[in-house]
Amino acid sequence: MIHRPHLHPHHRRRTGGLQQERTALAWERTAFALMGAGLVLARFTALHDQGVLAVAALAVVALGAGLLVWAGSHYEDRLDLVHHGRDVVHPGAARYAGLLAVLVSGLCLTAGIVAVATGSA
Amino acid sequence: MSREGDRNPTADSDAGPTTDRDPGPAPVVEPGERPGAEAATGWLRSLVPGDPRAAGSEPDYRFTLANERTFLAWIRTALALAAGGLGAIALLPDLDGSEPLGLGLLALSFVMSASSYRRWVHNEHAMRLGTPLYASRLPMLIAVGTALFAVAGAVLLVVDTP
Repeated sequence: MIHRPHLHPHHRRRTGGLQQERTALAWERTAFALMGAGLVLARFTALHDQGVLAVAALAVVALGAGLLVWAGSHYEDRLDLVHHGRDVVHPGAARYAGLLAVLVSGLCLTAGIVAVATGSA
Repeated sequence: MSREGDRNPTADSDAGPTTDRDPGPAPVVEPGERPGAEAATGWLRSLVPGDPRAAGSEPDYRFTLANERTFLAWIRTALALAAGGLGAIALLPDLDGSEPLGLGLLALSFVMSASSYRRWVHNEHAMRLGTPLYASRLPMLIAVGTALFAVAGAVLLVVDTP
């Protein structure tokens, strides 16, 4: 009989593996998307002479980079939570990501409105 | 910790909170309102509900992670719309109607971003209490909205092409 330890139910349960990994990758993709949107915003605001918004856009890129670093380090912590059967829900992280997304969307909307209103679009 | 049984999705997926942490009669608690704490009201509270851990028992961790990934997918979609909106304004200056198009996408993006955390809390809350998931019209609104913008963009492009 072929020995397939990864299919052993106990082993499977304790790895936390693929779900955990997909979630970590989703966090990292989101961080990249935040940085990408921040860069698009920075370029847009620079082209339309919106200095304050350009600085804010660069701050968004930095915050997105911070999220990326956090996602990478949090992956291991979360594996521990799964292994010990503890609650993996993380409202703080969700709040941070949600707030950051609102910030970026709001900044983009503001930059768009300003550009259209001042006729510089 | 001997709660391994709680974490088996095939056993518990439809059973609801029937574990040793069953809170008893399902408490009628809105997300974000801790039982006993003063009920915060207002639009801000409804948009930014509090900690979903306030009620119910923890679902299988896979459900929690799936909910989190869904939340992140909403955020990424909103960010893509924001980038698209700015792109429409910046890259199509000669196309009549590109500005309302871009502003519409940006507004759509803002609505999605602003509602994503709320949706996450509601879903988490429902999973903890074993109640139906949060039903939202926003996916339909987004689908119809982006489709309309796409059609409008295509029409503008055809009309504008000499």
